[in-house]
Amino acid sequence: MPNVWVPSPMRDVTGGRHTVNIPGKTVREVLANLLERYPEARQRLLRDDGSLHPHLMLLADGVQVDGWDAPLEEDSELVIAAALGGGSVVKAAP
Amino acid sequence: MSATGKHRASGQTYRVIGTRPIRHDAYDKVTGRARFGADVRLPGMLYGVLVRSPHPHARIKSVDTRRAREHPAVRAVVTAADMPSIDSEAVAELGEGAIELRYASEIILARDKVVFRGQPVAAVAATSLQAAREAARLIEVEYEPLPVVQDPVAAMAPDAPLLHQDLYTVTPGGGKAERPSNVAKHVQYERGDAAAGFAAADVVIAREFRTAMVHQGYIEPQAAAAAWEHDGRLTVWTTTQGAFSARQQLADLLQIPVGRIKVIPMEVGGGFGGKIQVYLEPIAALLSRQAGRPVKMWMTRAEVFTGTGPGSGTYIRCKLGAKRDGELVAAELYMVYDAGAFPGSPVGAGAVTGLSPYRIPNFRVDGFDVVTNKPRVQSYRAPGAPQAAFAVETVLDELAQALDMDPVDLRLKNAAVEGDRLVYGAPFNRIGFREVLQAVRDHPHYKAPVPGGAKTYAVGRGVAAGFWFGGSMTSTVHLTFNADGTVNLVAGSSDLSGSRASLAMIVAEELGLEPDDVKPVVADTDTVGYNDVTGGSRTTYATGAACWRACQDAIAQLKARAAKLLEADPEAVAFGGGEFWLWEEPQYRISIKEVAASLQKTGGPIFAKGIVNGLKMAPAFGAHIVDVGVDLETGKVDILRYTAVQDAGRAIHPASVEGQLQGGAAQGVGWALFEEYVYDQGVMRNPTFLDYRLPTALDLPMIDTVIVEVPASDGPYGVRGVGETPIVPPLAAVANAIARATGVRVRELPMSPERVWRALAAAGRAEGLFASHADG
Repeated sequence: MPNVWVPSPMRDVTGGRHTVNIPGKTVREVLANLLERYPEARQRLLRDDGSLHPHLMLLADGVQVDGWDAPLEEDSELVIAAALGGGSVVKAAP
Repeated sequence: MSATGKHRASGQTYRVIGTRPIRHDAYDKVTGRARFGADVRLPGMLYGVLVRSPHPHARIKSVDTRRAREHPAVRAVVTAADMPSIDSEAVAELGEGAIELRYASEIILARDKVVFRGQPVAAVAATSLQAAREAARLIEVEYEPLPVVQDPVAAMAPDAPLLHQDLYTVTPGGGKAERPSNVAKHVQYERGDAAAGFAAADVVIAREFRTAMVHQGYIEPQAAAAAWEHDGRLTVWTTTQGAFSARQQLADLLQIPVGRIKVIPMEVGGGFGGKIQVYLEPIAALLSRQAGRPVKMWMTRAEVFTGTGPGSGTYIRCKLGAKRDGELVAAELYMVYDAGAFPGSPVGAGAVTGLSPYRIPNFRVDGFDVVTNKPRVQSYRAPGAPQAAFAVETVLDELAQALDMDPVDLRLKNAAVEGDRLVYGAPFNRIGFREVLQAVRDHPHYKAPVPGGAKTYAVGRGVAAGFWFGGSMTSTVHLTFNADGTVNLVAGSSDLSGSRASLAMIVAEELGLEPDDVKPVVADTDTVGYNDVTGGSRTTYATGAACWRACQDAIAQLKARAAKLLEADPEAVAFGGGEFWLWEEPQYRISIKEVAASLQKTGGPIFAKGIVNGLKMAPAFGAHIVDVGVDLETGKVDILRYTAVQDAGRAIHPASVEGQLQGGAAQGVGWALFEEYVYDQGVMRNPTFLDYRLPTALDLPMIDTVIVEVPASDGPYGVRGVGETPIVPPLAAVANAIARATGVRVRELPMSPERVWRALAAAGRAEGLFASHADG
């Protein structure tokens, strides 16, 4: 099943593991299953509207993911990483 | 500069690829016929001028435009009140970098406060440029000046003046800080155990570095014209790296449907990342809407310096640990990137590119995106990477000296190969870093003895390396065929450096034509399918792949037509070298030009398309060798010999590749030795090319080039983009050469004569009358 590379600041939710095997045939399925296994990752990964936080990017087998329906193979690797471009801000106070 | 480089070709040879035809844009450019942004002339056109803030940080108390509106030649006046209010956190993806839309809007026209000197607060359009300037002076803006912070490290202090009360740091885990600050973002990468790695190292070196804010230095200032028609359609002519990006930004900022906007890209007189974000286009559009007439605007050089986006200045701490045999075992990077007045420095890319070239089992990288009262930065050729490489490659050179190792051998020992992971976790696919380093070691320049110096003139040699990711994104091209067998290639990638020639060569190669048979056009947004920006070293790689796919589409369609002419089934027809023939009876053949001439009678025109939407990364590695001479009496540094080596995967047009290597090296030398935004309380003191020192031909020797070809994993021919990488190594290469010449390390850019001399004097290495007066 696809291997998900977890960025170092999120490894507290995966028990310190930097890779986890998560089932799924698309990016969407793998992310859904990842969040089912690690619900506390949701706030780190997604905005309230369900979209990926703009400070993150996803790479599936070395290609930056554009649409979440991108297919994944059994031996695919999905990397979650900080977005390379620009900085981002949170507008409202916590 | 003519090309004298070596071309280390890989196995397969091609008929067109690898040759050096005259570029398709050459005649228009050398004869002055090419039309750049400011060349647009439209009936009834007005001239737009901006009113810019004289304060680097101030609250806007009032903007009074009445006197300007009463000017007889004025036809429109706009302020931020005319811009749609953007309250969302929506992000404008620029293709290279990103910016929140509300900040992009503020950069174009300030609302309640200004956060950098030169930020526009109003604009006028009048029947002449002189009248527009006159009217602009009639606009009265009342400001309440605020405290200024111009240094990014000082801006991080808890008591620093805040630029944005609603800016909360995005923390590495995706959370947000509890209090507002000038730190927009903190990125962090970690692998292994850095502390344990350093404890196990035999040699550890930790250093601090500073690099100055620098400008891309494109020769053509920003220029745009807009015509807002009465039916609501907007047409914009602009010098841009991405017509579709400009269109999307206009739609987002002006809150109008994207389908109502047509962006016509003009020739681009240099961009290097600085011509992606729109500045003048929305204002020209608003002025045009108000006036009911087209409006043209362009910037002066001083406006370009103070009102557009330079490259980040940085503060970086770098610590590396190695075993006695040179094996790197630990690294730490602490990186502060100056974003200017709004978030969005390239710290993310800097944090990844710094250490990724090397196998290091234990590391930690912390990067900070920090706002200051300066123009908001934009991409500049390999955005973020040269600054990071300056730090890492300098410390590597010191490690090599400490370990008594050849600096290239140290890099070879630790160089990443296919499968090794970048800092952010994804593995490199096929890369040619080792091959590049080997080419450096084998080069006559590197093998030659370092030239001798004199008592007051020290000579030394430095090397450094670096890379850029090589992105893909989206490209679309169309092909149509003319009756004489020539082909129209309609692309949407702005041509910054001769990419039309490379794209045409790919089409010519595939279709068996000559490059001159292919007519490449950079089309407007109504004419060609979507294309991302020309940036990130993606055009020859991704748009080239789209050309290749369009050719396969065309060949399939042409085969059917050839089959009709040959009275055979399409499956029986083969194609190669510009000819169709029958598999079984190869004596029956017909040229592609003959098929094109018969299109009307075999079924009508043919339209072929090629679309690329995501190729794998094609990272390009480079390494540079430089010999410098240092005048020990004045601190002046001369570039005596320079060689740039880079993996191009497959050089489509070697002269263009060599030009990119030479151009990147020249810009990097400027960054290393001359260029900086000189600021005093938020005011840039050198906003002209007289005072902002770009390198000229008199500062540079012939830059030798070596093209290494290790095919990329994806795309046709193994092509890699080459534009970004050559600016990554020069900063450190020059610094290392100065250190090897003098024994003195200069870790702050630019390494101006004064800074070098002071460093020499402090180390007792200066010569001449004032050598003992380092502080005088």
